[in-house]
Amino acid sequence: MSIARKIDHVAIAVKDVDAAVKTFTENFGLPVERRGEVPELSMRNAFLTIGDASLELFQPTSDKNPALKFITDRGEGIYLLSLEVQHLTEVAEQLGKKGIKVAVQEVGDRKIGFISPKHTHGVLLQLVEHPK
Amino acid sequence: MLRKIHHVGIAVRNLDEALTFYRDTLGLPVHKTAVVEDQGVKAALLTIGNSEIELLEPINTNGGVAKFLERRGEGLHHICFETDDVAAELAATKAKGIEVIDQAPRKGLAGMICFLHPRANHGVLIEYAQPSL
Repeated sequence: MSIARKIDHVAIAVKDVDAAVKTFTENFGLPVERRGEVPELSMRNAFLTIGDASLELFQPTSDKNPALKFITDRGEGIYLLSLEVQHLTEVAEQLGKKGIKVAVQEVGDRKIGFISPKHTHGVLLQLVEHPK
Repeated sequence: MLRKIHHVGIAVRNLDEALTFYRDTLGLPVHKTAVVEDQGVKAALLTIGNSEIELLEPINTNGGVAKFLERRGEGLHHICFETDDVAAELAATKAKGIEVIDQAPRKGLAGMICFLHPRANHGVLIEYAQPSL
């Protein structure tokens, strides 16, 4: 039985979110779903719709955001894969029994948790539960 | 028109080990496995919702995935968008002056496919795929 229902979004770390939105809307015709600034996560971001998922383009705005170091070290690129789950607390418990720690936090009206790349073969994997 | 994310590709050193996480721990069903000689990989596609996760293990040292692993280690490798007409999509992309890797569609694991150059898309390797019927 699969833990995750679908791909929620793929996050792409960029140096300039406005330039990236221009590139991805012009190159692929993807509509902008929403954009804004998330001061608590030190980033400006935009979500573009693709089918039932999104691409998140985000620009870290301070070194409090680890993606700034990611961009410095290796350049812009795919940063994170986010999967949608139905009940994150239960999933976190289930994974915990297998030795995989997921700290659940609330961001706005969503619950999110991260699985360390050491468990996922190098992928920063986010699990997200949207409000019902 | 790009319809959806067909799959997200992940470069791994050992496919069987990666399957213990993605198949056994996450519980994603394996939809297909294959060796794609001209890309130099052994691959598995796992279903997630309307999309897939593609795990890629290099079978030689020359392919793009082998080079990626050497440079960066394991991790997220590419995003594939599904289209109903890969030839038209690629032609439109080239007409916009976007740099591509494949000048013409070719057969891949996901159907007829082509790759665009990451330089053209903020470091993101993008693939188009038209699944075979």
